[in-house]
Amino acid sequence: MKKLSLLLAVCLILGMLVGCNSADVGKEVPDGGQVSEGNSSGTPKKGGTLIVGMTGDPSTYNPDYQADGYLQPISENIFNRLIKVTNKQEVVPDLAKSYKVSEDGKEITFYLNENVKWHDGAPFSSADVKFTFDTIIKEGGQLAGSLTSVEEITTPDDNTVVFKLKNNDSSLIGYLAWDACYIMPKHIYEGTDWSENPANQNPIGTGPFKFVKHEKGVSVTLERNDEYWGDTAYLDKVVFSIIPDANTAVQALYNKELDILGVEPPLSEAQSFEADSDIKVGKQYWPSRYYMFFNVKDSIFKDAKLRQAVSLGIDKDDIIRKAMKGIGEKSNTAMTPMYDWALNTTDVFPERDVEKAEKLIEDAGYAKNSNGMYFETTIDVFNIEPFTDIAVIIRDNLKDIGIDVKINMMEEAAWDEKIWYGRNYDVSLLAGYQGPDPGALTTRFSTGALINLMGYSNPKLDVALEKGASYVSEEDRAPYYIEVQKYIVEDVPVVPISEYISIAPYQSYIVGHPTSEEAIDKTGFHEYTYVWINK
Amino acid sequence: MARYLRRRILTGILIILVSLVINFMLIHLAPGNPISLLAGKDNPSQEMIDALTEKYGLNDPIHIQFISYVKTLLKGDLGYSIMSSEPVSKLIFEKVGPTLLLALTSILLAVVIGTASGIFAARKRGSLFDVTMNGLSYVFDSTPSFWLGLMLILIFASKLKIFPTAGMVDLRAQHEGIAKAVDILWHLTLPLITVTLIQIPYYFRIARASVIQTMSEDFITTFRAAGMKENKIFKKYIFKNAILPTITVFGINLAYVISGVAIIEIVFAWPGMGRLMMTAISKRDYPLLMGIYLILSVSIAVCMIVVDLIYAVIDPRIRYD
Repeated sequence: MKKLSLLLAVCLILGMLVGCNSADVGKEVPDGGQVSEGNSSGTPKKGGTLIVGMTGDPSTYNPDYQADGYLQPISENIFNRLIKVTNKQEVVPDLAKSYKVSEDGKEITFYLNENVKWHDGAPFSSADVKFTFDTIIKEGGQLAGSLTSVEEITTPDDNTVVFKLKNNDSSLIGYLAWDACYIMPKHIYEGTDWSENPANQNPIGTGPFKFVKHEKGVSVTLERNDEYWGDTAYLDKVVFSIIPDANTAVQALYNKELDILGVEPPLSEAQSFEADSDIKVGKQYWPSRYYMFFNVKDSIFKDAKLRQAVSLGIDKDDIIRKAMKGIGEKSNTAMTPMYDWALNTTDVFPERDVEKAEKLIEDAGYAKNSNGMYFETTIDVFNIEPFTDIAVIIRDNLKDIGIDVKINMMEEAAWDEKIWYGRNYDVSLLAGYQGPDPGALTTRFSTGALINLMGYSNPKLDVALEKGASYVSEEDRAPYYIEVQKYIVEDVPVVPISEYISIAPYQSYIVGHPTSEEAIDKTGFHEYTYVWINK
Repeated sequence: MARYLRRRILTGILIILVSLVINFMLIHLAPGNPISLLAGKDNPSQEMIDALTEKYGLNDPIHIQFISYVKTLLKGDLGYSIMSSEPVSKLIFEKVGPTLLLALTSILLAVVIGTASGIFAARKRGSLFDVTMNGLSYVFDSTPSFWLGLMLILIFASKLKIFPTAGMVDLRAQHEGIAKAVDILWHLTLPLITVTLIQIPYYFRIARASVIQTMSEDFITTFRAAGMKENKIFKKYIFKNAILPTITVFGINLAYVISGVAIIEIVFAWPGMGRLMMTAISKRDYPLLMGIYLILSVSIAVCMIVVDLIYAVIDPRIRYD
């Protein structure tokens, strides 16, 4: 209890330091709208094994080396970060009990928890933190692209780490709380090739669970770390069961072979989960909205009028209802609404208007042919649900405004080659993480940025983004991001479609799921420290 | 016979070499590359992409990449997987067992059940059994395997609760020893039934057709006219002749069995090589894929040689060619 209140106090301090009060950041998504049993079910019970589904094998247990969606849920339980982000998309303490940003924003000091031990018994210290980030930068780890502002990392003492920055980088905190920056043991990795260290198959972390074994294609087993420096977990074991087919995983959940589904269920199953009293449905709201984007550099959509017409022609409600089975939320703002302190709610994308859309196309110099169509275009999509279904609805929507859309479905690798690298397309669809901060707009909209697949360039927007990143406080930064969103709405390089909400079904006897009230303020997306089995 | 064998082995080696070249080229020419897939779409890092592209030599021209691949291969090294940085041979070796368990058991069951019922149906041509089996063989022949698998899960796991839904072991119980073996067999049942049901029609129809064909040959009519007993005619003359096509098909299927069960492995979460191959394809893991294809082409070549040998033993006409 003492630890808990300490943690809460730290949360509060941290919250004030970041300048974001927990009440006004992010979206609070209640636990499937159901009354949580955690409060009425009394004291947590220790023990038991939790079985969680997963669609594939993690390829390595080096958590910072490469992006690996299969490793992330495991990393959160074996390792710790300095700070971590919760399902409310709030940043809370992890190994760092607090941190401080200097006035000019060029120095971030992290104060670490004391008496932290690695799973092999070795003591943890600030040297591990420095080693981790130095290695990520030197070896080109997954997060390296987001650490370019870091000039030097120093360790004044065993429990303090200072990040010295070349320039103020307000997005850094968000990235440090996200993925691929788990603190790695220096005493194991130092002087070795981090891509081939044996620990990559037998990881040593500081987290609430220890790695036990990985049977390829079958399961990954973790056990409770009784020496954990924070709140000790209730569960004896967490077993990730590898089931590649989502339909099979859903049946395994119904048949009680899984406690937590763990994989993204087919959207068509969503309603049946809600109807099943044995199953609770957690919701996770991500800054990973679905959007449509145009090749503004070299395609028929060079003409802004046509892009505006498409934006007016798309029926987002229809898409969410039919293609996404209601698991979504209409996006009209130019940025994810999760960062509401920087959200522009004045300049937004318009509602559907067929007449206006047709007029714009005619203004652009097109006339209807004998089939009643102005022109023809192709939308390239990867063959993953719900992108394919979204494309079908878009085709129907745009037929109404006289655009004849052909759908070209392709495998992800082929899509990469044609769109990401080849930029040989008219229009396509994408989602993906667009956080952890409004600064992420840079990655997708500034001139020449890595995910600016549109080839979009607006010098005024570039300047505003740079300014937005150069200040520390939200009040100072917000106006620039609001300006950026205005340009996006004016220029229409993309049309946002829906926010990304994922549903996380689990058995009703599971208490403390990371999306539930009991744990949402304290744990990472898939961290099972507070989970216990109530039966 | 020795000359026959030598020729077959040489052909086999040639097949392996040609397929090695073709596979390498095709895999590398396919759109997309493993590093961009590794980097993901969430927050890709150019630094990481550059470092890994350099590490795996993916910037070199394709013929240079091929030469360096062959060089490591000649040392008996299949290289390292790009996805997991683990030796390809280790990754494949781990998955061979479950695949062989599922694939070999099912192909043996299918060949025995299919051939036996095919012969029986042919001998009772036009009977109720013959008509029913014929109909069923078309039904299962045209059933997609993943659909059949899901249906069996819905019926036997979800509704009747007889068999487990998926996987190879009960993760809650974590059995050891004999209990574990029983547990694995228990989990094997549904995927095994699926793969077997899908394969039976081939063997049924081939056996039935070739028995019927042989029965109408002139020499059989002669035996009958000479008053030889029906059973003796069948055992001594019809069966031996009619079984040859079955052996051919069995040999070919044996070679494709690993890739053939991939879909079923995915549906039932069976940890086999087919699944590994599908992941390797979608992630463009070149070294892993080359390793799997090499093993497949070697096993295809070996199976062909073995089938040819069996053929030569059973049918003397072939070996004296």
